[in-house]
Amino acid sequence: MKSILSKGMIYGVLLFALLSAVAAYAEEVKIIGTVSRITMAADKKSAVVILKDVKSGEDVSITVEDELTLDKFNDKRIVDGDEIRCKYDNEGGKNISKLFRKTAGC
Amino acid sequence: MWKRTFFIALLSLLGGALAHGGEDHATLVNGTFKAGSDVTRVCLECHEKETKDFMKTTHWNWKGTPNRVKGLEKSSKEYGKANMINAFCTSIQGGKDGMVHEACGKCHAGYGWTRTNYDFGKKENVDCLICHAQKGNYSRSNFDCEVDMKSMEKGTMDLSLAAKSVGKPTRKNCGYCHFFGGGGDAVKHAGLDSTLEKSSRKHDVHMGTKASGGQDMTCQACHRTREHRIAGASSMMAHYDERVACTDCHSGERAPHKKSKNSAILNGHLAAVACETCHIPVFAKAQATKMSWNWSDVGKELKAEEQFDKETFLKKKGSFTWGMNVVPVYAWSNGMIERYMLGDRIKDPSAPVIMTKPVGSISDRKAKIFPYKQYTGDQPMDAEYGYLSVFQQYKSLWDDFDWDKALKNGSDILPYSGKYRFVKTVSYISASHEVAPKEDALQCGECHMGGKRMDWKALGYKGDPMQSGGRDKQLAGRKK
Repeated sequence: MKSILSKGMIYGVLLFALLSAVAAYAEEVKIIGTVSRITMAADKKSAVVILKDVKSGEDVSITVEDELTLDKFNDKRIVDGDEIRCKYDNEGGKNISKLFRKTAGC
Repeated sequence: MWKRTFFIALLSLLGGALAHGGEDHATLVNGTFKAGSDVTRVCLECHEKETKDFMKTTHWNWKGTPNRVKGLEKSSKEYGKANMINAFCTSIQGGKDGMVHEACGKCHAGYGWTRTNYDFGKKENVDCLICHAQKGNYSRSNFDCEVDMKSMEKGTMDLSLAAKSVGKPTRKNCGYCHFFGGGGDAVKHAGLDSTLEKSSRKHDVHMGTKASGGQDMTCQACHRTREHRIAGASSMMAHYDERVACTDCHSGERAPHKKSKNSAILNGHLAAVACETCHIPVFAKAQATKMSWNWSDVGKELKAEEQFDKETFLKKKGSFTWGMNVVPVYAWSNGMIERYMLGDRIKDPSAPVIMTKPVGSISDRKAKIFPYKQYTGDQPMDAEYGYLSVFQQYKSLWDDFDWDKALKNGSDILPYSGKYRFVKTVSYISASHEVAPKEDALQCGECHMGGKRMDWKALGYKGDPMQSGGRDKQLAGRKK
């Protein structure tokens, strides 16, 4: 009886871990899009960028918080019209950028 | 007393400001500028000597005497980016009158090098801003070796502000070219990419920001400069002015492992193991680096996959593989390299051509074990003449994917027989950045006691030197 219970618990934990992993994975989205607007927050610690998804043509709002990318907005190294490869997670209704990089090379 | 304190404080402030950024040029540089060389003319009013110094360097000439290359140490002929070949974008020489220069010259610290014949004696062609501008989003055009006029027209670049903001180079300045070697961010070098502009201590203990516990060091803190000559020896280039070594700083009072309980054991490694070997356990920590590039796939209709958020195929460039948190390969190095030079005959086209490889072995007392990115690929060779070919990718291959035509169009430098084939290549590129914090350095078990990181036999040992003995014992055994 005891061993059946422990097996059940193990399977339960494994199923929970698997479902959590699937849920976490499902939230991460990758797009390639063109910058159509960059709005810096007043405290300059974040920015909201509108990317036009190259595939769907839809506008996607991305919140950027990493210092390196914010510097690029401030320096105008990333501006409207630039093509961006972006990876984001949906956290509390916001699309939080995890990767925000120009696609261009030479 | 207060006067003395005030004086010391003032001196420290002034000293700090000068040490950090040099003299403020905002009031010294006046006027509006329409071209890069307009700015240089103003710089020359005070910095003619510095400009002349710069014009003697490899950053300007893209070549120097091949003091890094085994067998060419005494050659007076000069080699460098200007006339060597590699396994990334291969060569800047392809095309009539060096047409490719107009694209590759984006990273030449000068204006106007769009064709083979270029006046290297013209001082106003030096681009001071690429290394010294701190503001104004100074950038260079992709195609004409000039200031990026499109950015100026769009208002995303301010040349006057850039000119007024000059100071000592920051990581962003150096990174403008060096983070993007090989045609894109993180492509070429092992552990050099744009994330180092603002990295964490965990990423690089030297360049990590102060807020993350790092030292926030500039590139020139290690790559010392003298008269605009910058220390550092690339594992792909033929010439260096001066070397950079960890022991430049980590010696004397700051000698390594002083505080370690195991300092005797650790220091016992130093005769045969480079600092980088234990302190750079992996490279490409923040974004993937290119690990292979097959030019033979150019023009094919392959499906591009994603690997570490980077594409594995581009019709113009061929197919690639990428690596992140890559465990290096290890090889002996005595500081010299074996380097494929343009026109060298390939003896066995069925074996990979060694583009660059460290020189050294267990029996070479000057050599130590260093970490490398092992980069592989393929590229065309002339099937009859037996050397790697220079082809015109920029305005030939990339237009119509016709290899034969691109090889003909690139044959101004080396003749093309009309027959080509692809040959595999291998390059060993040193991993010398992304130094980990001490708590992340390699532990004994990674290499010893069954650890698989080192291929001891390939390095010339009988087995794990912890059991079979260090270099002295191995060599003594051979003499008997």
